[in-house]
Amino acid sequence: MKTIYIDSDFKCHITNETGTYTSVETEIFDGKCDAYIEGYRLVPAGESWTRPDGVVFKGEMAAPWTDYTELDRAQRAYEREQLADAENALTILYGGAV
Amino acid sequence: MGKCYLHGNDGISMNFRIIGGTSAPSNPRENDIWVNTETEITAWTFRTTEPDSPTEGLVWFRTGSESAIEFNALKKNMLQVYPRAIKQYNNGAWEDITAQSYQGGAWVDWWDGCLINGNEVYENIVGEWVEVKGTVGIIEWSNDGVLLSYDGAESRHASIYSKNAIELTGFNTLRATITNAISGSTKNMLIGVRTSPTTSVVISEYAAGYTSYSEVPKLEDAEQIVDVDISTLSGSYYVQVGAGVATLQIKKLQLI
Repeated sequence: MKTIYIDSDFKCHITNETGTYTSVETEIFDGKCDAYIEGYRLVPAGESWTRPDGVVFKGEMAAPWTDYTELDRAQRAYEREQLADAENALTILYGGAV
Repeated sequence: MGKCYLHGNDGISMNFRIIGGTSAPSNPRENDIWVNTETEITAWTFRTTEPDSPTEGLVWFRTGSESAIEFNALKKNMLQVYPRAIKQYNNGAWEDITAQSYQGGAWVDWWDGCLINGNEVYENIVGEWVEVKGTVGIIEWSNDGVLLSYDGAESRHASIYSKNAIELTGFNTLRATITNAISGSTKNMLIGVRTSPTTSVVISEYAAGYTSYSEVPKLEDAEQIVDVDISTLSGSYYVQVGAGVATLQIKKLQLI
């Protein structure tokens, strides 16, 4: 579970940089990197978002607002870093013998 | 490679014809496309994404990388086209319309984006709807679509997912018509698309695995529309619907 922030267009933010965002506790981004999270729109239950073409989406809804392939690429790079960090930690713990 | 569109307002140089009207042409030729419309077709375009500045009467044939009605647009097999859906710009808005292609001596329906419509399950698109059930989960198909429910107190989960990853390029919305949604908790009824389907029977884990999803609001014995925004997605994704300790009746599931 983590706290993220959504702006007036329901776009997600890692920090409340303007002081005007709404905080949301959610588990749907557990394990996701900041770049991935900030490419998403999260409409909380009880609220709704109207897309520019007029279609209304009722919460809870989560969907990328930018090209998902870029978000996926960022997440995969993040996971590779995490794996490298874990492997380094194991190397240190076992003095090089894993 | 840059974007490539095929457009025009007549079919004189092409290996196909586009014919508008409310009844099928009586003397069709191979690759004729009959567009079922009362509105005059002023122009047409084949492209994967919505035209930026449509004019009245424009017919947009949405294309993809595969199609049940693919055809060669030019003579000598030089331009294969994969149409998937059709819209016409009428009174300032896009309208869903139907079309048929004359191929192999018969009229073939264009796909309207439906994945489930009553007892029609579109196996030529979906492959099959793969069922995932907990020990007391229920999945029943009828003329009213698919029911996901449970009967008992053990693993009360039911979900279905498309066996095929379905190309979403050019579609903006996954729309579900729901006729019954009963649940005692939140996030127990989810509809969405994923890069890989899940066979988990723990619905509370679902939300984090979807690329895009919507939670179905509780509404007993009444019809509601639940939309999922897929407008920024390109490529192929699995469509999955899940219900955990819930009863969900899906009458129709359609890509728009």
